[in-house]
Order: sequence, then structure tokens, then C-alpha cells
Amino acid sequence: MIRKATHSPLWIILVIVSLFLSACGSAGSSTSPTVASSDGSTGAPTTAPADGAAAPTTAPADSGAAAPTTAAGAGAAGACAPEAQGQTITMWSPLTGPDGKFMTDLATQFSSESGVTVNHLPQPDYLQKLNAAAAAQKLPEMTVIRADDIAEMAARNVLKPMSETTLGVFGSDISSDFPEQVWGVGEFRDQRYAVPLDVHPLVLYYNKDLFQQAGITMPTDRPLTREEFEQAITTLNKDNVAGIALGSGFQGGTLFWTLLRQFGGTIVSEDGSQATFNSDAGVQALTYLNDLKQKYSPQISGAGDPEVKVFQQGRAAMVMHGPWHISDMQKLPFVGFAQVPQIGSQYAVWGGSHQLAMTTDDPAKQAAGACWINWLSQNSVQWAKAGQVPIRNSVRTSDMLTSEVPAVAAFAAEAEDVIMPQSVPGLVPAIWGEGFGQAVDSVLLGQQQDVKQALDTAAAKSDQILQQNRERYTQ
Amino acid sequence: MAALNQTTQSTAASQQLRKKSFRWTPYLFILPHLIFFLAFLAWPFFYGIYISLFSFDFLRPEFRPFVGLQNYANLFDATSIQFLDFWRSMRNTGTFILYSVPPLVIVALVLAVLLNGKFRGNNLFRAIYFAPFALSVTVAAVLWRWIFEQGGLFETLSMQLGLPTIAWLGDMPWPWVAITIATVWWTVGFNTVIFLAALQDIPDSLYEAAALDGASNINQFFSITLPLLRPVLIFVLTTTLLASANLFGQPFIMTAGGPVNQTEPVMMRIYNEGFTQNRMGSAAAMSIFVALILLTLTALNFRIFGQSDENARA
Repeated sequence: MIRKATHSPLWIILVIVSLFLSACGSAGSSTSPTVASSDGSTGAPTTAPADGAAAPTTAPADSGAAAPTTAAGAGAAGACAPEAQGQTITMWSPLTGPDGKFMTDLATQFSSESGVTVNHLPQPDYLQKLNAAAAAQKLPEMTVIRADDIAEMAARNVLKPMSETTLGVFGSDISSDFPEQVWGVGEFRDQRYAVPLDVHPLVLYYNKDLFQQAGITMPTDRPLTREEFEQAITTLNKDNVAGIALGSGFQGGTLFWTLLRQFGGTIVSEDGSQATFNSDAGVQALTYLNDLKQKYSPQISGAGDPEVKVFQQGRAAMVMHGPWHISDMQKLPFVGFAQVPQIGSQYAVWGGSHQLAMTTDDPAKQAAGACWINWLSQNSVQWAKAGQVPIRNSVRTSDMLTSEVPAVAAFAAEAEDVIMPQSVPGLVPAIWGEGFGQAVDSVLLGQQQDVKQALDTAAAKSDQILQQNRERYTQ
Repeated sequence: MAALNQTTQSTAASQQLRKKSFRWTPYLFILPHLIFFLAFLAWPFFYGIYISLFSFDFLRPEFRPFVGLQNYANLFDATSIQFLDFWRSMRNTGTFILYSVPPLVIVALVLAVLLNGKFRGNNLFRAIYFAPFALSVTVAAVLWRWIFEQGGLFETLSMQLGLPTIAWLGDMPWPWVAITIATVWWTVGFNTVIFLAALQDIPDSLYEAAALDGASNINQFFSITLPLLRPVLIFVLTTTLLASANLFGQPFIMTAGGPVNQTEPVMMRIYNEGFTQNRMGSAAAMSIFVALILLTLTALNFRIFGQSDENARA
């Protein structure tokens, strides 16, 4: 009797379990990009669920039209060095959002034109994958790497320096085509490890309808001034619609860093040995940010960029966040794109940067990789369609960007003043994740009233970690 | 005499032979499991102890100084960079155990009693309550993040109904409530099935006799069901306690440890220490320390479990 009773539910359960397990596979893969974006401290540039509609249309005909407008027409595809011919290289990347598809299409296009085959492989948790691959000696030939990670991954023997021959492919004056700080972050201990592809600075997303109703015009050729910004936010702040959506975590940290630099401060001393974010500029920045949040923002906290959702639902007139939300934002007709306002005396905006790095010493593979980097760099207007700002000055300031990707062109000027960390291993985690990140959050979430004390405590801890890092990475 | 000797000898030899082959059989039976146990549990555990004695980064063999017990000492040194974060995360895990274990056991028990009834479609309901357990932690946690987050289902609904809104994932202690609800929804089916199996082993005659004596349903539950479930109850309590102590995925996805690391459980701290900060020696020391605590907890539970078994027999 009893056995009979237990048999049938178990059978049903098994069937249901297997149904759910098979559903898991697809559900899991479509959610993983969103999961990655909650990883604030590294600024994972990933967006909400992948969307087929965002697929690029880079037909071969496009590239023919694109070639003449790029600055150095000489480096067109097909000009790869003889030793690079016939090589196959695999490039990993953290591009797990819709942007990964753009990169794969560009790699396919290059492969069909050049005699070098490039396989693009986006990896969720790419640092962990690179670490594991390095330990198992199964590294790919190349990787897209975030600027913050370059020094550490170079010091930990994952990235390999680019040889003289490789650098020769780019030409000697290539550095002059990049903003100095973005080019500089790819160098570690006098060797070049990475070439910049893009920057992804904070963007001011604003509600065009609300701005129009309030009679405020957004300048297109410069950022809002402090007076204009404060005037706009007080005018727009109503009972049911807030002036701005301010959260914590990633957004709090990047805005603090931005304001700190605008008020003339730095997060760390020039040599990267001492935390300096607890300066007067730091206190001023955090106080200003906290005032904005308390006066003009709904209560927002939690992982997964809830401030962006609040803005997208029309409950706030502005939000400042990473450009990886562009593909979602473009689907909403009321969203406008602009530069982050200038609050302090010196313009600066936090930004990440994707750079291209070698994970192999093999000269032939490096030659093939160099040819691909060169081509990609010159065709980075196509890459801008993924929502990133091309970092080569000649590409970024071209008419092509304005006509092809107006949303990105609207804030591309920020690239000049984008904030980059010093090339010191483990700097950003020590300063941000284990440093000011906690101080900023505890002030913004009302758990700590004394701004100066919060920053002092965090700076002391950062110093301790920086000291340990120096001991770890000098040998 | 000689023949007798021979017989004894051959008997001894055959006994020895039988003994020998008998000795190997059980090991052969456990061999498949043993291989995996050694490769994926025993070896990493001892290697972890070894790593915890060094300042360790597996990609920098050129810098790997022996530091002795320093990584352990750091956990008890208030001026170390590990101290505050580590003990906060230990408290966080403890808090989650307090939040999650009672509902995971009580809700499972109530569900099991309800599902044990004889009504149409009870098999279907059993399957439905068990179904979420088949999901991976990612799916369950992302689902509940979409429900609890700002701009999510709960907030949108309460705004439309004109109710006050709560920052479920932002204001303490609501994130623990949200994580507990997600966890209960996700894993309660497992405990329910175990209780259900135990309930079906209780003979109907006991209830019939009690009913004849005029015992109400509630009387029956406390005087028959609960005492007879006791061994299973303690087993469920032990496994639930350990599962809750291993909390990682739900806060990793739903809150990223926030606000201000107040939902960062100790497993996530160890992960960050080892793989974000690349301080693998220190992370290994934390793991060993936490493992020792969990082993102690389990040993205590086994003692209680054993005693209750004797009590039940007596």
C-alpha cells in the first residue's frame, strides 16, 4: 500500500525534474550577461539579455566604403606580413553582452579579407578563465582586456609583451593618435602589453520629453555647466518624477571618482603607492554626490543597476551610467544622450577601456595578431555600433562616427578627459573595491554620516593593501 | 598425524585465501567513489592546508614565501586587512542560518503533512512543490532578483496598488528576508520530500487508534507524527544547517553582497579573497578555518542524531 503510494509521485517528479533541467540550459545562458553586470568593481560592460535585433549589418560592401574614411588607409586588410599569412589566432574577451556579436562579425570579416583567421570567443568571468588557462598552459593567442586589469595580468605572466617587430606593424607614431592616459595604461615596466580599442565612459542619459516640457535645452557640443545642471535638476524634480536616479555600488563609485577628479583631486599618489581619495576634494565630491542623492533621487540601492530601470520607467529625468546600456536605451524614444556635466573646475569622466593584448610569445602569432589589431583599430567606427567610443583620435573625430553612430558621437568628446588608473598591479581593486567603494556606499545608504571619517578609514585600508601588493609584485 | 597436519594447513591456507579475497571486495566496491573522493575532496583539502601556509598565487611561482600560520593569525588580528571583512561575513552567514533554517524545516514539515493527505491531485501538488529544486541557483536567484529589485515585480505591483514600497534588496534587513524567501522557494521541496517519505512510514493504525480515543488532528500531530519523525527531523536539521552555512549563489546574484557588504556570506568573502584579490594563501586559511567549524557542527549533530536513535529504540 505504502510503496504504491510513493511510487507514482516519484515518477512524476522525475519527469518534471528532467523537464526543468532541460529548460535550465537555455535559461542559464541567457541570464549570464545580466549576472556579470552586477559585478560593479570591475565595471563589467555587459548589458541586459542579448537581443537578436541588435545584430550588426556589416556586409562586405560596408567595409569597402569604410576603408577610405579611416585615417591610415595604408593598413588595409590583406597587408598582413608574410609570416602572419595562414595563421589562426583565438581571441578571448569579456564581451558577453550584445557587443560580443559585433566583435565576432568584425573578426569574421577580417578573416575573410586578410589570410589570417581570427576566432573570437567571449568568456563570462574572463579573468578567472585566463588565470585557469595560464595555470594549465592553455592560453589563447590574444585577449581583449579591461584597462584596470592590464598591469596585474602582465605582472602575473598572463599577458606577454609585444615584440619590437609587432610594434613595428603599428608604426612609430601610433601613440600620438590616442589620448595619452589611455595609451599609457597599456604599458607596464617599460614594455607594451596592450593597444587601446575603445573607451566606455559614463554617459548622461536624459528624458527628452521631460526636458522639453521644462523648456531646458541640452547643449550638444559641450557638457552642462554646474549652474545649468543644478538649475535643470531643481526644475525637473517633481513629486512623481525625480530629478535624477542615483544608486550605489558601481554607479556610486564611478560618480565619486568622476567628481573627485573634477574637483582637482586624485584617488592615488602619482606612483600609485598611497591612497589620496580622502583629500578635501574627496570629501567635497562625496558630500556633493550624497546631497544630490538625498534631495533629488528616489531611494535606490541594490545590485543589477536598479537606477537605470528607474530612469527607463520614466520615474527620473536623468541617470548617469555606462554606455553599455545604449542598445537598450535606443529602444526607448524619449532617451537622449549627452556628456556627463562639468561640476568641478577641471573636466574629467570615469571610463573603462577595452584593450587588445597578446597572450603568446610566438613571433608568427604575434605578427598575425598585430595585423588584426591594426585593422580593428582603423575600422573601429564599426565597433562603435556596439556602444563603445573608438579611442583613435582620427576615428573618433571623423564625420563617419557622427553619421553612423550618432548616439555614441554625442558623448565621444569625453574620451579626451577620460580617467585611467596608473599602471600598477592590483591598484583598482585595492583603491576601489576594498577602498572607497565601501565608504561611498555607506555614506550614500545613510549608514555613515561623517564623510571625512568614512574616507579616512577606507584610505588606511587601501594603503595597507597597496603596501602588500608592492611586496608581492616587486619580485 | 601428518595427514591431520596437512588438512589443518590446507584449511588454514584456504581460510587465509578466503580472508584475503574477502578483504579486497569492499574496497573494490567503493573504488569508483574513492577515486573521485581522493581526486576532488581529499587531495584539494590537503593541498589547501599546504597553500594556507604560504603567501600564494598560482601564477607567480617566483614569489611564494612561506609564512607559517600568519594567514590564520590574520583572522584574529584586528589590524589585518582580512579581520573586519572576514568576521562580518561570518556574522552574515550566521544571520542567514537564523533566518533560513526555521522556515526551511517548518514550512517543509507543514507542506509534507498537507501533501500526505488523501485528496485528488496530491501527486501533482507533490511534484509542483518539488519542481523548483531542479533549478540551478542562477535561475532561481535571477528570477527572485527580478521580483524584488527596484523597478521589479513587487515594487511595480505595490505602486499600482498605492501601497508603500520597500527597497527589498537595499535596506537591511529586507535583503535577508528576500534571500530567505528565494531560498525557501527554491529548496523547500527537498526537505518536504524527505518528510513525506517519513510520514508514509507511520502506520495508519496509530492514527485510527488515536481517533477512536477522541484525539483531534492537532493532538495526533503533536503526539504521534512529531515524535515518530524525530530522527528524520534531526537529519533534515543537520543538512539544512550545512546547506545554509554554504550560502553563496543567492546573494552573489541578488545583492552582490550589498548593501555595503552586509549580505556578503563567508563563502563569497573567501571567493573574493582568493580570486578577485589573488590572495590565495589567505583564502585557503579561511576555508580551512570555516571547514573546521562546520566539521564541529556536524560532529555535534551526529552525536545528537546517534542519541536520538538510541532513545527511539529504547
